[in-house]
Amino acid sequence: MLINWKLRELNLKVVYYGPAFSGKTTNLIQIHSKVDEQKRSELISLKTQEDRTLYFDFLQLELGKINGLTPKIHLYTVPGQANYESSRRLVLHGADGVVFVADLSEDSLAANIKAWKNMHNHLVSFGIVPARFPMVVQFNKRDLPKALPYDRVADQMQVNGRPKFPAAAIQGEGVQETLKAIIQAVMQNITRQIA
Amino acid sequence: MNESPEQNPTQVMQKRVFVTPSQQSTIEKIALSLKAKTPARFILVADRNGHVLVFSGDGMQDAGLAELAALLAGDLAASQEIARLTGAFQQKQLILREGEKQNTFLCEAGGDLVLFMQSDSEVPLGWARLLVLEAGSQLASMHLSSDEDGTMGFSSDGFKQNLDDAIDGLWS
Repeated sequence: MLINWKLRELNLKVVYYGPAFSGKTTNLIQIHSKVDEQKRSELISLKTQEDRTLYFDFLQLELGKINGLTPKIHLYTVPGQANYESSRRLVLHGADGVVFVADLSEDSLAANIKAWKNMHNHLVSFGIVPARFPMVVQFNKRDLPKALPYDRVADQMQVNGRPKFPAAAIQGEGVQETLKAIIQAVMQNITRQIA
Repeated sequence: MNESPEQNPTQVMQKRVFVTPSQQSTIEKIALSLKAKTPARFILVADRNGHVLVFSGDGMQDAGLAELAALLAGDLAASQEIARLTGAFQQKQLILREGEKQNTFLCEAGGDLVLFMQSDSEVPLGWARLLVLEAGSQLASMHLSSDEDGTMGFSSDGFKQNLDDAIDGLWS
């Protein structure tokens, strides 16, 4: 978080984290396509030759002036592939909030749990208490014919009291709700910290 | 992992950086002085997470600044991690990209900031490098606050509702 008193700007970083192919980049593509271009940057994607996220995707949202303050939200994704652990850690560092994108495909349960634990380990290594860190969980690909029930996946992951959002990000379903929830959670946390 | 947010009263204190108006003015002065002395095509100062503080230069649209700053922060973070993994990490390392027409410099400026400069290749490398490092040291010595009081109006009447409206208003 960067607060610039002269410019009255509040800059926040939100990271979309999750296993490979869970739909992190798809969320940003949907946001980019639906948000007025005056209120967003271009979508930057650092990809491999196979069109997979190599380092991160990036998109900035500008909410305009709110009570004389200009919040700018920086959205990042991490690379999902297993061998990009160092990159995931670098991108996650400095985050003010996280959207964990879980995959409801029937063969992705173990990958969800592994990524969820892995993210917690990184947060702890940054000195963050995950239980109080702004975080929402999106359960993506609910539109698949054999999608697992999202409450079952949530139980297995031990998501507990986190806000949960079933989604079909490729159709735009659940994307806006998830984004709104994480921004609200981040702002609530900042207000608590600063006030 | 078994704790719900409600069960743990510990407040999460993430790293946050406050830039006061006088610090912002100082950063602008350092950047503009570097640009004039070098001379540089453009200068950008951002925080380590890629949030823009100062930009000055030609040949670059304002609209691309957020993307540029994010990439620069990522570039610096990746380079530092490479140095760490290869046992070559040192403080105040400078990344130089030497080109036929332009040279670009990227350096850390203390724990919080990133300084980026691009100059024409006619500018002697040693001169530009010296100035970038000097400006980086000046920025590093500013000790940006991480515990500033004040809410900037977060808790003022209607902020939450206005924020919700602004988020809803993003969707066209």
